[in-house]
Amino acid sequence: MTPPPRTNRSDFPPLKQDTFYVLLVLLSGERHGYAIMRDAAESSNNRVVLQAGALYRLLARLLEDGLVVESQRRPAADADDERRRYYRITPLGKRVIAADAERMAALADVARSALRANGALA
Amino acid sequence: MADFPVPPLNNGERVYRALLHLYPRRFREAFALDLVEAFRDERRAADRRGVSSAAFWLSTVQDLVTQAFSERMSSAWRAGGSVRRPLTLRLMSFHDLRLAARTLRNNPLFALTAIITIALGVGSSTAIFSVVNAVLLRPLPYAHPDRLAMIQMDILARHFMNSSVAPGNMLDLKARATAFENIGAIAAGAVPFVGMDGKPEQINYAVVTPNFFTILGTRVAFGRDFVESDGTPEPVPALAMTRESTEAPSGAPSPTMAILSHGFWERRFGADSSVIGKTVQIGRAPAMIVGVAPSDLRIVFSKWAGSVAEPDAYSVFRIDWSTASRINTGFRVIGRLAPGASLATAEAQLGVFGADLQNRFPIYKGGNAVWHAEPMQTEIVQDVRPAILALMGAVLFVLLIACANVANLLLVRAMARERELAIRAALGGTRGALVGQMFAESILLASCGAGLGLLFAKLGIGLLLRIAPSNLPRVSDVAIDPSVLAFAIGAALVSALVFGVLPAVRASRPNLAQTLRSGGRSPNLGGGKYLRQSVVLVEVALSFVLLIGSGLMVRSFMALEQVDPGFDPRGILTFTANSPRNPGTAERAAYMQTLETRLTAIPGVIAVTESSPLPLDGTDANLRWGPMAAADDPSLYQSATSFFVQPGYFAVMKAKLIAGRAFTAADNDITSRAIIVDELLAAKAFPGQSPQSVVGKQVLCRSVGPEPLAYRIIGVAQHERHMSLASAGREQVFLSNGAGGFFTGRWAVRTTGDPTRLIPAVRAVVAGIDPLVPLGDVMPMSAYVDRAMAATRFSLVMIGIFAVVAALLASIGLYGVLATSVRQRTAEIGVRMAFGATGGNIFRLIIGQGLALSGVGLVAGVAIALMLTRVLSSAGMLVSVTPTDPLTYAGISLLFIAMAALACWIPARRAAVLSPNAALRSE
Repeated sequence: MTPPPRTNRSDFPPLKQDTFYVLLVLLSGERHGYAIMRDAAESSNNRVVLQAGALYRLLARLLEDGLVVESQRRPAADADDERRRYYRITPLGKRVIAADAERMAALADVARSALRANGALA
Repeated sequence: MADFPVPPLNNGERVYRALLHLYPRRFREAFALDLVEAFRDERRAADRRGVSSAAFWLSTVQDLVTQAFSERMSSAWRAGGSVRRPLTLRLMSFHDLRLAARTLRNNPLFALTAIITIALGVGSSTAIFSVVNAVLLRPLPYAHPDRLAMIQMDILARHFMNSSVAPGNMLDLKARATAFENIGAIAAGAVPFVGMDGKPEQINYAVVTPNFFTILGTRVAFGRDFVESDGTPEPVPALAMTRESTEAPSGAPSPTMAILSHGFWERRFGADSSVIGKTVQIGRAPAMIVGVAPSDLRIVFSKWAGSVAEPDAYSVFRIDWSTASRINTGFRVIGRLAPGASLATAEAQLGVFGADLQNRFPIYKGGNAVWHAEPMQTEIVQDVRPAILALMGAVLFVLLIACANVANLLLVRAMARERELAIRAALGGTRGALVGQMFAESILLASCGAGLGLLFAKLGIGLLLRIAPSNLPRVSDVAIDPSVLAFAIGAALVSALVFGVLPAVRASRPNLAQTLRSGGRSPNLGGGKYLRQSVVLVEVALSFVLLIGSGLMVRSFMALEQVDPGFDPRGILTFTANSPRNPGTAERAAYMQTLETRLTAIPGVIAVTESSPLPLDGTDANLRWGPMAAADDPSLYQSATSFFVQPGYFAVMKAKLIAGRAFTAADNDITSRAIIVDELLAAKAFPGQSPQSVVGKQVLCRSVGPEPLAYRIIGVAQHERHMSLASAGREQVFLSNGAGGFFTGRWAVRTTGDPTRLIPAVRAVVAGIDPLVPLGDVMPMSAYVDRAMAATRFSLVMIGIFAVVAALLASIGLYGVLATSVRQRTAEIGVRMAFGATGGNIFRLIIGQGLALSGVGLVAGVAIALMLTRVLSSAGMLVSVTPTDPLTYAGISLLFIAMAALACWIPARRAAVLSPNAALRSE
């Protein structure tokens, strides 16, 4: 018995921080593995520092869940002639990260108004 | 799998690629290429950021191993058909634990072997990791220690590195090196102390700049910190750190301000807080106690600052920095980087500062003096770091071997229990339950192993501390602390997961029908044979490498024992007797004369001398010397070690004179220009000339006065080992003590028997002349030699222990594989016997199998050893032996084969005495 495929954004639990940043990085265009690691670290202010092993396990799950797909291999833009595999976010992936962002925004709203009521936030 | 050409790999990438085999095959096939590419990118980025390759590999391997393991676990679960869920230890229940405990109790031999193996691995690695943690990893005990740097000077033309600083350069240094928000200095040494009770003793004393504690970021426990006005110059320095001032001052000196160390305050003043404001005598001056340092203050760089131990008391330099000497070094300089400033900026500013000094002062230009700043932590550990890392590597081998051994044990056991598991599965035991139980057993084994291992570690650390060499910084901080504990538990847990669960997953997928169908027959031990054999092969190879390492250390230690230090340390008692009074040159000379005469009169004393320093006492003393031509060309000056000695020196030390004569009483005078040089200096100053012809010639030396003077060579001595017993070191100059102004260093008394039995008599003589002179550092000369061998002895004992443990574990592994093999081949052996094979044939068959296995391991071990032992020599751990020493390799190989034969003996014996009937029936 294999787990039922997850096709709906509501099938996904809140994203973990590293998953969130990987999807976030891919929103602005396709990337090869190392570029994802680098950009995730950069855009998260080094809070998400993935190493190769961790990244590819994560990518394997995202591929399996259909949040990310592979685009074809081609030379990297940064001037070496190695052919690399690039990853692209799928429409489902976009829906999932959007839902997560909304979830967090709602959470932030609730927290902010509670804090404000407490006078802890101006 | 590759659908396009694999790019050429370098060595590191090949290693990484090989490690990818830890992943399940499906994952590996999908991502191997991308992982290698990402690895390559990460490595480049790490290189650019200047990450050390050790740190890079550590984090890479850690990432890879944990990820591969998690991937294996989750794919095992998914293959097993369970819904994907986070792996939690719901796997294991209390019931499982109880069952596991019972099972292990029923197999005490197995359980004990496994537990001891884990304990040895965890214990030894925890002990060494404690050292690594305390010495190399733990941040220094100061505020923002990464902002602290040590500023030093390299005098390149004299091959004299990391020199201390002359006080006259401090103001310029502060003005130029603005990347430092604060720059301070320290100089430390042993001085006499006389308390309010009038009792003298020798203490360790540091003189510092008023900002010293501020730079370290520490505050006095009570009283007050130093203030700038404490450093108001005195006509005469309170502590003569140099031989500059030789005359007694007129009138009583004003007191210097002193801060006591917490420990000294507790020991000497009974922790009495009313000491503040009291006056004591430190060195040759009165000192007013103004504060007590906090109890957690550690001066981890006291060795660097010139003291063998942490200071007992501190006071402030009272010198006029603007007129201080620019050539009398001796001040160790510490800087704290300003917020936002980088070490690179500081280095650049020091470069400009050094160039400026060279332009202004010919002596700096001639010496080609360059300045640099070193992060404090790096500087403190740089001498010991390579050796500690080599030991860490050795201990990781032990841990690996231990892991391999336990894996093997559990693997064999899991296979032997396949039928039991199959029956339980047939009776309705779920896979989860089966895996859970085996998991519980591994956890239990690992926790017991870790517990026992911690005990081993505690004992091991005790041993380590006893034999640790004195150059190991922060050694008193070595202890099992939380991070070390975490390391031990982590190691045990990883062991449990790797050893227990992989065999468990494997065992819990038994082919039920087949296993049950095999009826009462011998359990299926055939599977995994190659896996087990290769595990043992690795163990054999690794333990062989460790044995070679210990063999090389034994050879080094033997070589060190054979080294001729240039003197005979046997039968000599040494001590210091520094006066807290402030007498003039004549009184000092008279005191020394009296002491020498009275010491000589003690029955059992053959001769008496005094030397500053004594060889191997750990104090370096610099003297600038050059051929006469150096007067016009300062770049010809070189650095030598200077010894100021009483005339009896060469007789007492039994130091050999190659040519010329020793000092006489007539040379022992402030006006004397007679020197004795060692053979190295003679050869350097007068290349190609015989020692005899060098006698009578002149060289320039700068010792007492501000300028070099011409000295006449009266003798050429054999070179003595001074800063290290293992290597020759630089050239040496002996001057008469009188020429230096009769300052006392260490006394050396040659005796007829055991020198320590004269200690009471010596004490009485010293106190009899002046009760205010404390006796200090009383020890036989042989203790200094012993101390010089400590580092090698330490490495020898450590690597030796690891090698023995590793060899023991490998033997157990070898035994385990053969014993399994005999069990598995019992039927076959029965058939062979039925067809006429004798016990001897069978014995040879099994021994042969064992020796073949160890032979292959040995060949692999030799190859690895040839590569890795170079580390020992580049870490400076080997003495007079090459890392490929054929004798060591041959000897260790023989030893190793004998050991392997012994490990094979028992199973082979058991096979040989099998009765053919019984053997056949077992099928």
